[in-house]
Amino acid sequence: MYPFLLKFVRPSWAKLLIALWYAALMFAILLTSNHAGKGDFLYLHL
Amino acid sequence: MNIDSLVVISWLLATVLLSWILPKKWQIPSGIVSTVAFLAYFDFLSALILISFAWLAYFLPKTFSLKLNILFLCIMIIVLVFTGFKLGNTYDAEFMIPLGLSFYSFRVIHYLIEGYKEKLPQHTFLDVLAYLFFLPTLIVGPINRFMQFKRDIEIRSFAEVNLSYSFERILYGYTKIIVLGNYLISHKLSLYLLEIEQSSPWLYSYLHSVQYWLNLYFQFSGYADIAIGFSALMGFKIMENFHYPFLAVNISAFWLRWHISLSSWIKDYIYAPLAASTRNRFLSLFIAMIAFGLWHELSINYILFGIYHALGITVWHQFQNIKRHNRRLQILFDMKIFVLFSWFLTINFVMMSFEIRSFILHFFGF
Repeated sequence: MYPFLLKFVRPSWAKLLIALWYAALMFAILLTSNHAGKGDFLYLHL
Repeated sequence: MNIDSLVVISWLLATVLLSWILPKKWQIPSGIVSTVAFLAYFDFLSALILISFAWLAYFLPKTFSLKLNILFLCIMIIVLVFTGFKLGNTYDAEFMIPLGLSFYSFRVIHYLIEGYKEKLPQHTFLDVLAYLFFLPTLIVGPINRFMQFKRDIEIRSFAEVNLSYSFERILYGYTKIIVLGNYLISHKLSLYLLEIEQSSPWLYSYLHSVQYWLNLYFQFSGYADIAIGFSALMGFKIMENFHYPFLAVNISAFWLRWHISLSSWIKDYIYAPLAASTRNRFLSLFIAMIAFGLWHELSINYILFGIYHALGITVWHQFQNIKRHNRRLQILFDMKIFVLFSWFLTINFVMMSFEIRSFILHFFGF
């Protein structure tokens, strides 16, 4: 992701954007992690 | 047991940590011990089966020298154990498959066949144990190969550049499973489907298929991302299992992008030997695709799933043969609008394959 961002912004901005992106993903995971999924079959039946 | 449970994440992180901080000669054994303990804690039976398989794969061929009959015997034992548990699961939904059985059975068969072909590098029993008891890929694959694994055992070294890559893959994996699979597809889309179930039954059925397939993709590829990420943290490069399958513009390309480790396994150990011995690639394709279906579940549903996909690939190959000799068709089907149509057709063909059983039940009554 870092090399891709470097095509558009300076290195410091690229690092900041990546940090924000990771933080947003982690926040989304924390926010939604109480919903049980339907992925159990992957390790119950395979 | 769940991949996003704190226990599993901690166990994986502890295994990674031990694989670097211990003295070099204890790094690989620590991973084996951690995996055995993990299996013994979550599924003791699976630990016993895997230990037996490891012994069978390494010592039986060594004791009797790996002739064709011994190879056949070893594979038959593994297939019988695999089939027995799968049948149990088919007839009793409460019956659980030993943890990771579908994946490590195929790893053991790969190891045996490559050993028979004398293509394995020099290795010890410890290498085999490390390969079979590798925690990141144990539960839901990918079905990685021994040769690459053995190479990585020898050349693995700690590199900071791996850290960011690995954590990124792990983060993407958890995002796919928790945010996209569990929350958006399973939870939010289900709420919407409940709303339209009465008013638009056709749209409901269609979106239900879309939901099933998308959830399967996000869960499965999320697991693969997590496995690849944790493996990279331990210094191992594991093959990719998914390569944007939803971008495939034909059914043949789809199978090169979906569950790559299994499709390449089936190609190498079922399709290629069959095609070589029967000289009939369509028959080989049908048997290989049925085997692919049966790997998921030993049921009529998945036999039909295999036949359906084999038919799709056959039709596509026949069409390619016709197209090759017809310049007008080539120009027509290379147009962007037809590529888009082909993509739409492929995705819908794949999504419908998971509904084949209910389709047959609904229209033919059996």
